[in-house]
Amino acid sequence: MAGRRLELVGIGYRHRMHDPRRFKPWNTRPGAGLHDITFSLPSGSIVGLIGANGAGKTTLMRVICGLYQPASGEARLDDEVIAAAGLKPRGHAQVGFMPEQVSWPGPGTPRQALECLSAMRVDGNDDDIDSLFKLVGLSSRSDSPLDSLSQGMRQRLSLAAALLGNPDILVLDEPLNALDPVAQIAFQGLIRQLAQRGHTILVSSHMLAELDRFVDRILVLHRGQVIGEGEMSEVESELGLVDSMRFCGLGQAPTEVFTAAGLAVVTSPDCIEGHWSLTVDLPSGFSQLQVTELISALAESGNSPYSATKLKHNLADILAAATGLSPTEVGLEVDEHLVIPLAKIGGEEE
Amino acid sequence: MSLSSRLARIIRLVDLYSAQHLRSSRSLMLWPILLLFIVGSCWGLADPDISLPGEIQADTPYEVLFIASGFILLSATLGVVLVGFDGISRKRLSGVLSVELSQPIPRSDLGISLLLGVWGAVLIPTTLLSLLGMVAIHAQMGVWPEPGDVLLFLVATGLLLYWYAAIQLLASSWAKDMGGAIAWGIGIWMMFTMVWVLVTVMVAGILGVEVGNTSDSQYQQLSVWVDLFSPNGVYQMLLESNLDGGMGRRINPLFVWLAALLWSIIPTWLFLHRFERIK
Repeated sequence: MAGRRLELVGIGYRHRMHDPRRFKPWNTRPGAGLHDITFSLPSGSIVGLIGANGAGKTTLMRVICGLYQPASGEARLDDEVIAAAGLKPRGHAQVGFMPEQVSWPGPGTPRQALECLSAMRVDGNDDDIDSLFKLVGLSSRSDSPLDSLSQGMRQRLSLAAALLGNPDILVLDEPLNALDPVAQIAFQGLIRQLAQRGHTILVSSHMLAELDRFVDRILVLHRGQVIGEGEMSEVESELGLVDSMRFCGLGQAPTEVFTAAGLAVVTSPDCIEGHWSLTVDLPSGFSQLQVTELISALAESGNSPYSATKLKHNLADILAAATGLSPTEVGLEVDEHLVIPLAKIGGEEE
Repeated sequence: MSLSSRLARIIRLVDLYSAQHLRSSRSLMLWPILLLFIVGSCWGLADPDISLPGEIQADTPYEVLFIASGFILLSATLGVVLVGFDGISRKRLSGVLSVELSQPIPRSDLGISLLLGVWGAVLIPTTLLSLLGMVAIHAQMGVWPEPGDVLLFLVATGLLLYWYAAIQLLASSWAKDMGGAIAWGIGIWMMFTMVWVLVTVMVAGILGVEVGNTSDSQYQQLSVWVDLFSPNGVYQMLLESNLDGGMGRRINPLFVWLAALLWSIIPTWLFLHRFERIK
């Protein structure tokens, strides 16, 4: 399957917010949205779309999938414009969409639900439905009532719906939500498998640790703007985030060994019941070999650590680094005027 | 994509949506209600020994059908409310609408399929039970309704249900939650079915027409015109056009059919216009 390249250029969109007036109760005003979103998805890649709640992840996905009409810019699939200002919103045969937590109500069955969706497509073929059920692991429940499905099964059905017609681009909105850890691992494997088949996948989540296991690249969205794009390490490096490691051992914390190795101890060492632990920042270019040498030096000083863990940055770290706010401030949006960069839309500061 | 392919796709979707609705527990509840109201009323009204209030006399099978249409106004239209009040809002709240809107189908085609799906789900039982009602009339009176009368009755009933389906789906597309959907659905049904007389009286009051005497010719003429703005009124007037004698009201049938045409076009256009922009 030869993948196609999805490209977004200058996409802008604003939600209409209800703003009742005394003599105009239906009044609305422009609200939050997307501002000048420009990026492209390399074919066959898995791109993680990350951002805090309200960052615009779902809005962006809905623009790509033809649910919202952008106010400016355009989305292209190779040379074909699939969404643009002035173009009626409409789904595209080569873009499959899995919205967040579809509850699939009603007395029907998963098979009937897919048959109905299949009938909406020119390329609809009911024969494909069985293979889709097999792919997402829902074969045994394909004729069960929808009401009897668990949330995980409903998520699988949503994925099967997105895969109807074998689209080149898959847009998955929070697919890991409401899944237990075992189902999450299975789902990640499935997404990897789909990428290997040539699908280009855009997957949103605020669970960075889970995303990090299976995405090739990330796209960081904050307040409707792209604030970082690339491989995870590239984005971290661009934002000046340094790697850090946590060491634990028995006895007294050997801070002098770390200092001698030129490392800054970023947390004061904890010593509880004869166990020590501390975290150090690793300078840029600190190699695996140097880590091994550090552990050898600790062993020679009689403080051999029983664990050495490289710490991963979470979404709050990335957003804090990008905005200059503390992680707490980013999470709680304590003062929205502190957020950078500020976008100017139609002469109105947001 | 050719027009014939689009039509074939719409027909397939209407078939699937109608089947979905017909399988629902709501539709199963609808059958006994319609049986009681349509077949029951035809059977009872056609009884030669029955004495109706208000000196109403049903002497012919069509007159029985005409009086039974009052029961259709109560039951079949309520059926459309039952099936369609959350036709859009439920899909939107559950996320299914997003999945459907992301499919490569023009929204107008999807909207018309949803509309005809709701319509079909009520039209099928109503038509079947109306035909059964005619059998009941024959069993009581020994005569069948004229084919022309049967055709008019079924066409008018079909149109009435279509208008309600369009109105219900339009209202459902406005509703943001289940409570709103119920309020819109029942509210609109009640307005046309229960309180339209009040609207007529209010209009008469505003225009200075005597409202104390409903047999007043000026009031009756006004009520005819006001009824053109109600699907129930237009339905009744369509059926009145085939009545012999003095049961019908005085209005040019052209106006009634024109109103029927506008009732078929305007709610459909409003719904499709809304559906094109729904998020």
